[in-house]
Amino acid sequence: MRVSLPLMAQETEIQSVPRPLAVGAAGEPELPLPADVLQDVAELWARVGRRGEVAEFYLHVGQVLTVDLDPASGLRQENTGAGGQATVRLWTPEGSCRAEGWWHEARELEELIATARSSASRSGASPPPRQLEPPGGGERPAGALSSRRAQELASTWARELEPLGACIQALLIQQSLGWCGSFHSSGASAHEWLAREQALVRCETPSGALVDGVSTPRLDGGLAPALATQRLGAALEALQGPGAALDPSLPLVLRPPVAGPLVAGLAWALHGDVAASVPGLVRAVGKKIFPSVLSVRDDPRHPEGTVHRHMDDEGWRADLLEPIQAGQLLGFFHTHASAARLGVAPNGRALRAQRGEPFAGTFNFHVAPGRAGLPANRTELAARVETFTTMRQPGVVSLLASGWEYRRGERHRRVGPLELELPVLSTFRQLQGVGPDLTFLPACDGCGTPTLILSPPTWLGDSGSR
Amino acid sequence: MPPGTLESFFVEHRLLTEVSHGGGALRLVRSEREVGCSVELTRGGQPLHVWEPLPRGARTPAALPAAASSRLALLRDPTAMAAPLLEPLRELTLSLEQAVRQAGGSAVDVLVHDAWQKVCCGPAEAWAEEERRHTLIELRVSVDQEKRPAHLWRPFWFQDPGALAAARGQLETACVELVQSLQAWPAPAPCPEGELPVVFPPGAASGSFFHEVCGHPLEGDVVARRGSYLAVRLGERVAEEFVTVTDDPTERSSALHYGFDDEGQAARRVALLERGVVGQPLLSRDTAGILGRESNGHGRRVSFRHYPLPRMTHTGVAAGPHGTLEQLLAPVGRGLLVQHLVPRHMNLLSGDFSFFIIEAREIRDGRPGPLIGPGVLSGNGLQALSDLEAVGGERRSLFATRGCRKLDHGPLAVSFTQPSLRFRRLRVTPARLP
Repeated sequence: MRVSLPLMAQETEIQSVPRPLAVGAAGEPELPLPADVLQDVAELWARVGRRGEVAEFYLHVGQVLTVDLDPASGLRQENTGAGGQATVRLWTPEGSCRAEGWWHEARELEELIATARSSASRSGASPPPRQLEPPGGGERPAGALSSRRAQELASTWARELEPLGACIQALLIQQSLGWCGSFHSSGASAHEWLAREQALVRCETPSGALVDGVSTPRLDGGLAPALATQRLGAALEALQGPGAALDPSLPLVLRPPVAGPLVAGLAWALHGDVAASVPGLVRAVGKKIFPSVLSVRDDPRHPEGTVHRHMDDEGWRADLLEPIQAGQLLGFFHTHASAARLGVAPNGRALRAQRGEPFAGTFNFHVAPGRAGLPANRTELAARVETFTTMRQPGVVSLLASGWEYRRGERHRRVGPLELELPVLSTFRQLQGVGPDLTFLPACDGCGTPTLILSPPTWLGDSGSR
Repeated sequence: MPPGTLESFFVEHRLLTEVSHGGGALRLVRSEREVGCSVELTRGGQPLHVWEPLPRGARTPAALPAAASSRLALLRDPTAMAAPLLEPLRELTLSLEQAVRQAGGSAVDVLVHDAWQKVCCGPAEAWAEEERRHTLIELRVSVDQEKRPAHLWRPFWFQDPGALAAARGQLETACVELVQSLQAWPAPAPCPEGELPVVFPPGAASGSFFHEVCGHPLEGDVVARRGSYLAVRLGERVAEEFVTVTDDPTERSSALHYGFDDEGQAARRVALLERGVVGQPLLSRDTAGILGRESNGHGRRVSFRHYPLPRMTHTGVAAGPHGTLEQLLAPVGRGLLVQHLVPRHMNLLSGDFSFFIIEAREIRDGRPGPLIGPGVLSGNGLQALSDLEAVGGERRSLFATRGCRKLDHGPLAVSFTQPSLRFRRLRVTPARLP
């Protein structure tokens, strides 16, 4: 078994290096096939596994390409690479343990097993995963990483953004292609191909920084940054001068770029490991705790979403979930461990970072779009200035936002910048309507939201805005 | 793919270990070892960085210069970099717990973070090799007060785990002092509101202030696009004569230091503000080229998977003429002594900033008073720098325990040095949490 990473490990003169695994050269990149690798892992475990041990291998093999353009200087940095990472979790009669690292051939996985076994500090009693369910997702996505496409995309987008007059700090095009796979010592295995292309921009304005972008789980050249350009244009217009204070007697309308962190905060509150530490939330399952206009969905294969998944990172089938349906709380997003803590079944929402234990997450989490029209008199916030954190205190989203006050359907005056401290659950209880304009936002953990219409923010009191 | 010309390479062996102590148990949180390399090629006049992990099974990359390849076998040898032993850490944490309990505290949570890196990088004809290491310990001391615990947090840094273990007495004393602080002020006072004199004590986590307000606005890429309020004021006076702010990776006594950056360029002290005048930008090779200058050794990488960007390393305020912390506090009738700030937002163009106040005490009649509740410290960089009215003489260093993020590059280890400082006024607002 060998992960084929021919970047620089060739007998090649420097003038012709490196074979561009990830840079759109002629010919397909040489990623090893998941079925072959998982078969090798099975053979390895058959050789080195011990009686009484349960093992889970999580493998990720991928290649990435990033083009970072600074339009002011013309400097374009291109960065590409590829590698295979593995995490081995073992449950032994004494406890559980974990080891992770880059791998290139079988002996490194064997070393990871040995490292895990010798781990001086054994982690807690996370239950052994049950047998994996075979999902779909075995098909390699069409398209490939392409340096040329990324460069053209960056240049084209920079030209589109130029008329907006913003000072662009960075314009980033990111592409990735690879697969993740799980092997369980019971013999079950599953894998899924993953792809992503996204475009992100950060620009400075005299009122602060704006960050926006678009993302797609495909590599077929279908990325359309124009949508982000439109949002940025609206945001820049709202930020062009100081505005009035918030009139708390008017309904508060949050356009998607402003509502995004609030929706990401709701997704966080519904993570099983978070919910498990909030007994009141767990007790509310089955109850209608939000207005009927609120339904939220997590759709791993939403056609407009930023990811396309059939299984989670523990190898469980990932299907559409609707944790809030017409205001009724129905459940949470789970890993094996968080599901076990609450005594429910896992539901395919385990994610993994580069290192560490799986954690509960979401795939294309979004507020279901509605049909609400905008009130004629309203405060409408369309611009959100970047802050280093949007949730300094758990459960409270902190925003700096600007927009417009509308009277009789017409723009009356500019509003903001406002500092808003929005308690996530309480804010969604004030939801009066949901617009039809569902927008997925890579800068907000990939969450999606339409325009949200909230009741006049007298409920914030003096403490919620200034 | 057109051929490229090798400009430089970067090879690293990195070992990260994190150990936590809480609830009476020591736990290995993180143990990561990785070896990887990156080469920078020039293609069509633009840089192309290609990286690859180098686990044991990987062959030596052919793209590396022959001399560097010969060092690679030594550099990637795992036996040359062993993770810290857990038993001395167990003994240390138990002694800290004992000290806290004897002082009347209820618990101490400990996080030890050891980062060890061997790096070999630079242009093929002039590469350099270096070993870098630092060990951090964070203490979070708790005291049960009126049915709910109160906490204070302090970080400390050492050159390696051996130096950490040898500092047991110092850390026990720190734990006891934290317990006593919490006991002295059993309930936090409300955060005041208004424009107040603000004092930073030496070596406090308020050092992030100069990192955000002076450092990021003078990074080479920001200066190249004239994208900050300081970038358009190079050479202009913005503060008093006694205010000098530097980023100096060469300060051997500082928390974070190196002899050359991640592009193999010799590290240099850079004065961001020199005697109150806006000084030089922090430069990597690329940004130096754009600005028509030479690199000053501030091209830094998060890992081999990242290309170098102009970044800060060890940002510090030079010692000033105004004496001790007590002397800086003395003339303040009512103000704020700010120990710990966390950045909230920084507007590079206008210089407007805000920080969350995590730990601060009221100043009453020239003396530290009660701890206060959470708040926000805000203002404008130009105004704040001109309002910096006193700089003390005693400097201390501190690591930023969560590192620094820039674009999609982060977190990167950075540190600060700071003497006592007094601002004539900064805006203080209570955190208005619902």
